[in-house]
Amino acid sequence: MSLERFIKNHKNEFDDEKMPNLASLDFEARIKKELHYSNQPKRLRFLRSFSIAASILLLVTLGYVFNQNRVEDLKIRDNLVLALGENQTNSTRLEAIYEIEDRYDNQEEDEKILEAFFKILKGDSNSNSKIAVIDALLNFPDNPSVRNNIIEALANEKEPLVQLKLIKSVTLLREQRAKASLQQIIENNESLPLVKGNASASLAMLNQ
Amino acid sequence: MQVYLMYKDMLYNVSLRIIKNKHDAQDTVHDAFIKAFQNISKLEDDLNLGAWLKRIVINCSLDFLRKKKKLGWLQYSVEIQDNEEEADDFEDMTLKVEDVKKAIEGLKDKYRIIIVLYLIEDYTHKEIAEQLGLNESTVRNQYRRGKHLLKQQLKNKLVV
Repeated sequence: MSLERFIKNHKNEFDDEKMPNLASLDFEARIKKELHYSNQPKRLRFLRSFSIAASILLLVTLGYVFNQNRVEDLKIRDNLVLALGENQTNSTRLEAIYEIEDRYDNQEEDEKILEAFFKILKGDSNSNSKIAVIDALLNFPDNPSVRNNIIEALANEKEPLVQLKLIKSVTLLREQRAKASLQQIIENNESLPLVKGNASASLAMLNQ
Repeated sequence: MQVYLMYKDMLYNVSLRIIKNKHDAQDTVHDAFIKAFQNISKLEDDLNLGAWLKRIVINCSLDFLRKKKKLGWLQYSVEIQDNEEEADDFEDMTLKVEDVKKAIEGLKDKYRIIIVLYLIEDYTHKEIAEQLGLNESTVRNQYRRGKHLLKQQLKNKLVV
């Protein structure tokens, strides 16, 4: 018998390899996935691809707009912080404080703005500026550094109008840590009677 | 899955004979099944499902080799006149399928693929030429040379 004929006659015997079972299992999972996808009408697939592309574009655009707005906001914030600076006139500072109060109403506190406020509160600024800053700070009664700075200011402040504002503030905040400073104001001979009276009333309220 | 279970082993053997690597052959058979299922509407005669699947697997296997640049020999396949027809002098008892299979596997790709397609997969020389992009006469000569080498290998084995 010729070699050709031998091979042709026995060709079924050449098929002696078996596909491994593991490979069959892989295929079962793959076919479910692939055919499920390919059975969808072309139009549906196009719409699906289109909607994915449109969503991505929308997200990118929103991201860009958001980023632009954020950049713009930061620029405004930095300008306002600059307007609170020591070298600015009292009226510029006051204007900036009121602008900040309006702009950031019901928003989370901004660390950079708070730092500028604290600087005004502790510095030799005009009383009107300090009083406006205290009003602005009272918008964040839960912020620990706001509370700490108000208590600290009460201990160091010598200006009667600002002292009165600070006494009212610690009473409003029901800040027990302010008791020592209040006592100090009461005992200080240099304190105005009006200030002493307010400090006594506040201390009595805190002791209740 | 029934079609898969019915034909998977047959197609795996077809692909393995061409690709020679088990994992690649498994992947190729799976690719071929997916391709077939996606194009099932193009099957004109249901009775020829097996043959149709076999064609797809052969195409996929050759495509796989093309992608892996293992069919580079095609561009160097030139027509060499070799008209000597050798006499087949094997007797029934001397040949074993296992030996022939090993001898085919030992051939260079350029002979092995043509031998496999012609003798086992029942392709004509013309079909092989179309499939590989060669002249029919080149395929015939390549086949003849391959067969000659195959015989030599088998004879050497028998002598040893």
